[in-house]
Amino acid sequence: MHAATFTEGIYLVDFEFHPAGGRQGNPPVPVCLVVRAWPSGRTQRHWQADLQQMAAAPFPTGENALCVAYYASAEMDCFHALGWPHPVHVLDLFTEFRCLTNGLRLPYGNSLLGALLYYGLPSIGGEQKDAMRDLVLTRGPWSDADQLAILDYCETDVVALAHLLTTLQDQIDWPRALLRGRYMKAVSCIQTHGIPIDTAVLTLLQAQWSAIQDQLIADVDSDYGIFDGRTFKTARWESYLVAQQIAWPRLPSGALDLGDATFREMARTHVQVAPIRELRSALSEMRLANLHVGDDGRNRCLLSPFRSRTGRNQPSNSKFIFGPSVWLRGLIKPQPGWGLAYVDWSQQEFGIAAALSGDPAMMAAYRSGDPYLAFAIQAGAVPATATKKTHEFEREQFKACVLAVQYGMGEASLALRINQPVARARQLLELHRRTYRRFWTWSDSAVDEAVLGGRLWAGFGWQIHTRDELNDRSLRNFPMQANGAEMLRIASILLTEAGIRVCAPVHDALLIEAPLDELDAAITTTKTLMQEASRIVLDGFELGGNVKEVRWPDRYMDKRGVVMWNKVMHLLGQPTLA
Amino acid sequence: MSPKLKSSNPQTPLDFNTPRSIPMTDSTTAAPAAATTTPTASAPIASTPSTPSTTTAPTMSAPTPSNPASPPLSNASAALKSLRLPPNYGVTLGVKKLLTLVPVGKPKKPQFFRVHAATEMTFSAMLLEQKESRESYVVLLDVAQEISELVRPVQLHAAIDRQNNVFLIPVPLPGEDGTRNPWHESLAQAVEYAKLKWLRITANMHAGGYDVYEAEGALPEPEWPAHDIDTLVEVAFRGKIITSLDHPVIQALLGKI
Repeated sequence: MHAATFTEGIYLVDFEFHPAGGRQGNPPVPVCLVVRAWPSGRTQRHWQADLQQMAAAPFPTGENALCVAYYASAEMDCFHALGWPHPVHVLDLFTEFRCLTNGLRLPYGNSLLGALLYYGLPSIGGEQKDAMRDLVLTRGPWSDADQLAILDYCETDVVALAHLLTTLQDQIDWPRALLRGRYMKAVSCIQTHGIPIDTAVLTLLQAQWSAIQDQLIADVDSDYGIFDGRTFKTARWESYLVAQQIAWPRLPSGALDLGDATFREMARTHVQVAPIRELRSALSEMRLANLHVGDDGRNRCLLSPFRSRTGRNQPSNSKFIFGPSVWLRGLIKPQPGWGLAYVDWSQQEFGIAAALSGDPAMMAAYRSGDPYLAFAIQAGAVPATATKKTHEFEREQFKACVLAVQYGMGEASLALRINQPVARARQLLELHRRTYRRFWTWSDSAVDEAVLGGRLWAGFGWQIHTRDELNDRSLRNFPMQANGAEMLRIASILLTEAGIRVCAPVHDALLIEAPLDELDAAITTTKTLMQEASRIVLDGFELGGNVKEVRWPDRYMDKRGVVMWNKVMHLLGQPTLA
Repeated sequence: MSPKLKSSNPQTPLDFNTPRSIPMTDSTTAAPAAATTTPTASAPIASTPSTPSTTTAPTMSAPTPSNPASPPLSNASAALKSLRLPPNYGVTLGVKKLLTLVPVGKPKKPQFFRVHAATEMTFSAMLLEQKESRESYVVLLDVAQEISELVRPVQLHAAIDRQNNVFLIPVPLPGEDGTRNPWHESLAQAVEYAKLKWLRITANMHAGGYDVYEAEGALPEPEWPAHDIDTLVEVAFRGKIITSLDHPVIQALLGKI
């Protein structure tokens, strides 16, 4: 497959648009569209009034045509807004530029301008671009001269696309590039649906957050005495730790490591730390004003596909409801008559590691349904008849070891995590190496490939250049993360093309919604297609999963956030969760 | 405006959505306003208190990787799978671990070990042991004859520990009268037993021999590297083979330097 495959033509496309009503979280309102045929250069320019009269795109979008864009999910959002069917084939030069250069140092970033500069191609200046974007965001009305200027500006982007496509056409891995383009269409479906939010409670929270913060601090800190006003006092925390005889990790400088990851880890082994961690997290991450919620009460923001080095989505933590503290997920609530389902793959990274390495013991452990206990049995640490109930303590340690391997954790960190001597942590890690020798040989090969070959890849072509990345932990983790991302992309494609309303992808899960009387069928389809996605990515190896249903009038909640949610709702005078 | 956000369904080899439409698409229930560009008021908040809101159904079938019972992929998904790149890292680069270090000596106190059971994995040699530097030298026979009081005949046995480290255990051979001192005899017995079981040994000064401890767990058999005994000996004694009396170690032992 290559450019000549598309006998009805290749069309470079760019919209200018602004959010409806100027409110972030609302769908886009297309202002204009410029389409340029490639390589002929024949160009069409359409202003918004023309666009709204059209039932479909003004260029071929069928089986034998190709639509090319930069960050195509945004263009596909405009297709949705106009009620146009998506093109059959989409090539996104943003994703291709990201894929071709992932891991390299890019002096000008990943924007269209950055890509042009990277290849030494002509472009307009950044300042002019900003000025024209600002003009579009005024939402009009625009004078004739402004309309002409906006169309001219829009045309510069498709001209830029033409230069970029000419440069990249021979470097593009076409079949897999079109799959990535197909994912950008799925992303657009997901972004357009958005996540239903309980806007009444959100409005209350936003209005009273300042007062709530003080009450939360007073409530939680009364047992600790760490805060001075809203300021966390490190010296007081240090004194508390000494009094409690808690050995707290420190930075190389010797100062206490107060990062959230450390608090999270320490809260697992020292329960008395958990309330302070939740409070700090709530105070620092609570930026409700940034949450993008549209007029229809739905959280919509850019999912930022392919932004992370592993190819995972990387939406803004402050704009996306799954970004801030987990207790805020209680704001997710289906609309009347509707239900939600959060469907994930269980132990996805362990399953991927087992399948890709072909380690028979690891695959057997995954198949058992409880890989942590299976690992303990395989290592000879517990009898073959052990259960989660009879050997909970051992299972927890082996679980921590499995996760430690996945995170590239060393023996000291694992010891801290399981609250055991370093010798025990070393022993557990050694048992992992002995039990899963084939996995470790494969993992070592991945590092060799990265160091000697200069790149690593995932099943459907996402890759990373590793000349500048010799972090052993990152290199070993890349295949699991990147293939997890491929799996989520394929599942998203399968589901959206099957007509399932996907509200959000969340790392190893998808949040879907359906009318209550169709929710069961939607869940069944989702489970089936997610299993299928795992078999596609893992060469027949199927991952199991879990489903969490929420039916109106209930709300979604992550169990880790229940305590804080109830505390805040109590302060707001709202019903709490049982 | 499309009320239903269903992505286009290309009927191509890349397509995997053939007849997979599901009943919900016939629904008459109004979709939430998300799919439209016309903002609508958000849904009223339920006045009833929220109850424990989620139910977890731990299903999606038990994982059945590579299980024949797993349903086959549809043709479209199989076509998609054909795009898959194998994760065969390092295959074309041909990286292999080199054998660079083979220690010589008795296993350490906490070290469980096994000994290779094949007779061809033993090597007879005259050994000169330097206690101070903890170094061992192989001495060629004609040289050994000149300094017989400084060397002793040993059988080198290939051994391996739980971390897959290979080493050589020198077991002194019986003297001309066919006997060995109790320590050597005890070591020889332990080496024989280690051909079958994972062991560790510790010196028992009172008994004048080694205490032998057998691992109780069902430990897997050792994975021996594909090196013959000559290679192991060559690596173990690289730079430590004495071929003449002029060797500095011999010269020092004879008091000539």
